[in-house]
Amino acid sequence: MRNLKWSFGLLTAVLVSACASTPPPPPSVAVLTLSGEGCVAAPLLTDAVSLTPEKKKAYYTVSTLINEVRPCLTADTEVSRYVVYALPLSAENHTVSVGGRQEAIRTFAPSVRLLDADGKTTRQFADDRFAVLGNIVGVQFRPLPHERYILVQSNPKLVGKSVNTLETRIGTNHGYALNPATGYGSSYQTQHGIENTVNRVFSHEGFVDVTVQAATGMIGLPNEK
Amino acid sequence: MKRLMGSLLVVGLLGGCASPYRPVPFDQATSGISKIQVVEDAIPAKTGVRKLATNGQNMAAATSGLGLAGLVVGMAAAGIEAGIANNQNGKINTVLESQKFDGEAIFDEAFEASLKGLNYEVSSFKAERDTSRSLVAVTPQANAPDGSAVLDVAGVAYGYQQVGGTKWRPYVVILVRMVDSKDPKKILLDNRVEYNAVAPVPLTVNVPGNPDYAFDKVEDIEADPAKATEGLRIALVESARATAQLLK
Repeated sequence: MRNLKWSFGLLTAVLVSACASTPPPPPSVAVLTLSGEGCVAAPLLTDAVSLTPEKKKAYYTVSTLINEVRPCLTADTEVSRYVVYALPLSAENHTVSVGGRQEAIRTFAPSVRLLDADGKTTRQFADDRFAVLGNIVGVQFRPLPHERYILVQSNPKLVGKSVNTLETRIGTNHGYALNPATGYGSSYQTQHGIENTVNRVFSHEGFVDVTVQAATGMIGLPNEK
Repeated sequence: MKRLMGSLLVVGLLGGCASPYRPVPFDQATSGISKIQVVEDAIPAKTGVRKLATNGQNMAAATSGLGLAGLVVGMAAAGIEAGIANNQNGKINTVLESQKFDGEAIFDEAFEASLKGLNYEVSSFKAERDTSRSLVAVTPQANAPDGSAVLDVAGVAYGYQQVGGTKWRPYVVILVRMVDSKDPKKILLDNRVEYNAVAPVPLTVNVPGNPDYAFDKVEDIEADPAKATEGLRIALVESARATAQLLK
């Protein structure tokens, strides 16, 4: 009898917890300062994230969360978090789109430069080259043949800047209509407009999204059919 | 179970086939391009309303599975909706004409001003653009000097839009393509610029709308022509600057 009571109590608890909706986690907030502790003067190329997919693909997206476990750079008095990406073979055969993802209330503040095999900077994109591309604030480019790496680091000059963006989107509702003539029904969707003004702050931390697309063939394999 | 597996297979295959748009980015410093011929007729003469998620579309969706009667109701709703949109389009264009609004002149002026700072040698390229406002076909120019390109900025549509009961706000949609003058098959730049996009196309340029220019109904646009005109002017200028930015 005692076991039965326990079982009943346990069952009730399970059912109640199953019904209770779990509130979503709060959105990640912008990180505006870095201590500079343990930062290095030059990026480590050995830790580069590969932009070549394991399976053959014509396009490939890599998302990287830049947070406190990621390394940081110091240059003069400025500190930034960074990630290095290794370009696929035949780098010049690709279109690369890279930038900070527009999250709920923050955007990684991107600064992008290209490096050769020795880690020497070949190109750096000025702030006025950055645009909102889909859901990232970033740049697009075709690598040159001698470019091997992309260095993405947080831009201290941009960090802390707040941007209000008006967003108009379409929401969807689902319905079901019964046909009295046949007795059968069908489901349908209706749409409605949604308007929001979203405030996002540029941050040292957040998601960096990189999309690589092969101009011909597959990524790293320009002659592949 | 077989049906489920079949459905999953179809969904998987479709998902596998879906490939996002691939832009062709341009880099002035490494391109060797110094001379640009710009195709004339960048922006349509008149604005067009863009209405999404309307009552008519929703009614057509809700009745689509109800046999012939549902089809008739849906078609009637779509027809009524089209009539309303046509009427609203006429009213908005009348407002803009009363202010002597010239969308093409506004866009061209802002675009040329932005290009000037980039030190290109700019000339115009005459070509017939069809009514669909698509990109023009460029024929090879064997005698074109080295480093020259033909730039087509095709304004597909612009004007005021309303999305499922939201406020009326300006929108602009532009296709951009630049090709080598000698070999037009060689695409130097390809992208799309959209002001106040409702469903932003991944990897294309989005210019957020200015929240100050919004109207609850078309009658409010008619009541404040100066504000309506200024909202659209800002949309075109911002779109022109974003387009020119692709040529840096």
